[in-house]
Amino acid sequence: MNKKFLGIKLSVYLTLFVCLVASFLVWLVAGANIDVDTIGNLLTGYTK
Amino acid sequence: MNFILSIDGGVFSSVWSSIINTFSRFEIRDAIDIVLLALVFFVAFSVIKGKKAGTIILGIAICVAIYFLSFIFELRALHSVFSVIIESGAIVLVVIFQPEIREALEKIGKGSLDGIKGIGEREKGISNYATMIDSICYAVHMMSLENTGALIVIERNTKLLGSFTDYILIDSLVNEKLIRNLFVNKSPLHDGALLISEGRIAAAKCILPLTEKKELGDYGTRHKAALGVSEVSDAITIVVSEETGKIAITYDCEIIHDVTIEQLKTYLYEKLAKQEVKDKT
Repeated sequence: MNKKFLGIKLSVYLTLFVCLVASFLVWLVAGANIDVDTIGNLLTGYTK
Repeated sequence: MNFILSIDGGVFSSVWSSIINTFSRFEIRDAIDIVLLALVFFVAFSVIKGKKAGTIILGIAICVAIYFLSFIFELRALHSVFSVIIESGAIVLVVIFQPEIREALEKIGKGSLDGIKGIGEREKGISNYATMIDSICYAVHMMSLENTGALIVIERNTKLLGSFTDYILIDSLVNEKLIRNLFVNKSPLHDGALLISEGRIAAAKCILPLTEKKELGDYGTRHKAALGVSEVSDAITIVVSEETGKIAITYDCEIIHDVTIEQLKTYLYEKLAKQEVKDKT
């Protein structure tokens, strides 16, 4: 029972952490005005 | 293909300077912004976790991956098709996730409305739940002894009636004799589920969505329907097996087999009555 309880708590904390990282990345992308094309250009090295 | 992943100095440096610039303007407001967005993500994840919407999210992720890969590998035809899909994605998402969006909005609305309800109403609510749980447990106990098959759905935050394809409206107080009568083999309403909503018997003969999980191979349609409804809502469903008289509960995509009547009563009190107290204080 304790193990299950710990498992549930850990999974909640892990999910919260992942959500925090995801929201940080969204904030960064939005703040730096990086769009899909820019990400694509970064990966391909393509320049107009 | 050797140009792939060779990062262009110009693009990289301009993006990097944008990121540095964003960091240099970091304020406490941005931290609050990030935390609030993380909470929105967490609530959204909690709503779709384990439900059918979860597999749809996976499908969307695959579409996005194909979109990026087609861009990187310059597969123009594939990229143009997936561009259209991604661009019209917002409308498609609203249509696909309509039940989940509704559930999330109901949760938000319920949270704010409960705060302004009076104390008298709270006590009345708790008392109603206790009476309802006793009636349901007694009826389930009797049907279990008589090997009468039953499927009872107790609605919580997600409103279900509108999502059923077929049902007969009843709108009556919860009464153990009425519940038993509805599930008698020869009764015209015994097929399908009984829906209990807001402390009342809302409808009978409800057709529920069946689960697609394989783990219920030996069980019948009642168990599959009970698990199916738990995948699309936060309802608690009680199943009485017609063959064995055994009681099972489904909630949040999980099924608990061979439940005794005492366990059922405790479970319902935990999930309904105590939740009611917690919600309203």
